[in-house]
Amino acid sequence: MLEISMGLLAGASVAAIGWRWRGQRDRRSDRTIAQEQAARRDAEHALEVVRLRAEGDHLREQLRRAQDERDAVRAELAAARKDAQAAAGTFAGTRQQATTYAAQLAGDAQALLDVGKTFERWHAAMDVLLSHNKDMHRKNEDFAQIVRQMIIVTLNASIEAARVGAQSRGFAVVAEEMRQLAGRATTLSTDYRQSLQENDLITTSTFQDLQAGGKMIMGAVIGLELANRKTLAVLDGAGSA
Amino acid sequence: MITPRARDGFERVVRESLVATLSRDGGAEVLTVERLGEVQGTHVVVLSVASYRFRLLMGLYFSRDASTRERLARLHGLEPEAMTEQAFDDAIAECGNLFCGTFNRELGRAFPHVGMSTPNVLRRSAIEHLGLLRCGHVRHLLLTNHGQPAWYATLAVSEQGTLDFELPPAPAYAADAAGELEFF
Repeated sequence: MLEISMGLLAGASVAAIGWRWRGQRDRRSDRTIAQEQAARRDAEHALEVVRLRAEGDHLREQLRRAQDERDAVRAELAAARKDAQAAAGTFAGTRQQATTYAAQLAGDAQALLDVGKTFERWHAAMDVLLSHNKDMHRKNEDFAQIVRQMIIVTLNASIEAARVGAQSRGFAVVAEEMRQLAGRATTLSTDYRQSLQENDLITTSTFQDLQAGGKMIMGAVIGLELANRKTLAVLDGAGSA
Repeated sequence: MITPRARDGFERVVRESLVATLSRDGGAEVLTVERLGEVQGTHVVVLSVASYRFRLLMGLYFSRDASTRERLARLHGLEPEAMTEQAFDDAIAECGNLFCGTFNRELGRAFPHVGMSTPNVLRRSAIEHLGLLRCGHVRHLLLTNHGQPAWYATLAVSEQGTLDFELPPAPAYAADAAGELEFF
């Protein structure tokens, strides 16, 4: 505002002097003309001084603002540096912790892979059980064969008793008893065979479930170990970066 | 309880595994067999696939007869005369391994953690007691080659709690691997 007012004032002065100079030109002496010209130069000089002062004020204001901004940026940089140093310290600690845990996990996973030995032990035990089942099948077949022979023998005894007649009635009763016992033994052998067949299926499926489940667990542990190894590599890379 | 979607998923994989591993020259079809009584074979090679909340028993039926011997020899690129008893046992176990191994690998698309057993041979009569395993889903299947019965198989799933999953689409390499028979 001051700048504008001064400009208007100076402009008005110059205009007034110019008008007077133009109106009385014929009557003016050279001295007067020189005075007027000097006055005009003085006015113009005053106007320039005012303009330069205003410009100087403006530049000083700009400089002050720039200095304020610089100080603010410096303060922000200092704070950011402090934060970065704190974060670096925290990260180093966290990385160290993560590396420790990952190394512990690697050890545990390696130890867990030994569960394969446990599965081998189960495998061996189930092999014995399956072999035992086969042996029981064989014995039951032998038993069934004996019972079939008994039935034939008792049948022959009954025929022989019938051929001899009344004198061998007691013998016929014994033969009949033996035949009934052989019949019950046949039923028992058949039931036992069925139980062995059921046992075969249950034993085999259980054994296979253990075996397949064991392989599934081993696969999962190997996958975990691999992921952990990658994690360790990333942590190592972050530490050396 | 096994959801219908999970049953479909299991069956789809088992059907694809049968075709991929036990047929060589195309013309294969897998049919559903309604009753165990219709299944042919005196013995069965069984394998299991286990995950955390279910186990599957897979059975592949066979008889120790000339036609099975010939079929095994053809699958393994051998002469039937070369199939000794030991070679027969090894070949049938290998068929089970291939069939179940393919199944196991494909099932891995839906279940990241699954494991597979080694094969065992049972009398077929043992399978008649499948009810003892409290299976939530049992399916008997027949693989035919050019309309001729080739292999009977059983899938029996025992689950804990509700079992539901959706099989992701097969990766591109699965089609390339189909139909190949390899020892491992």
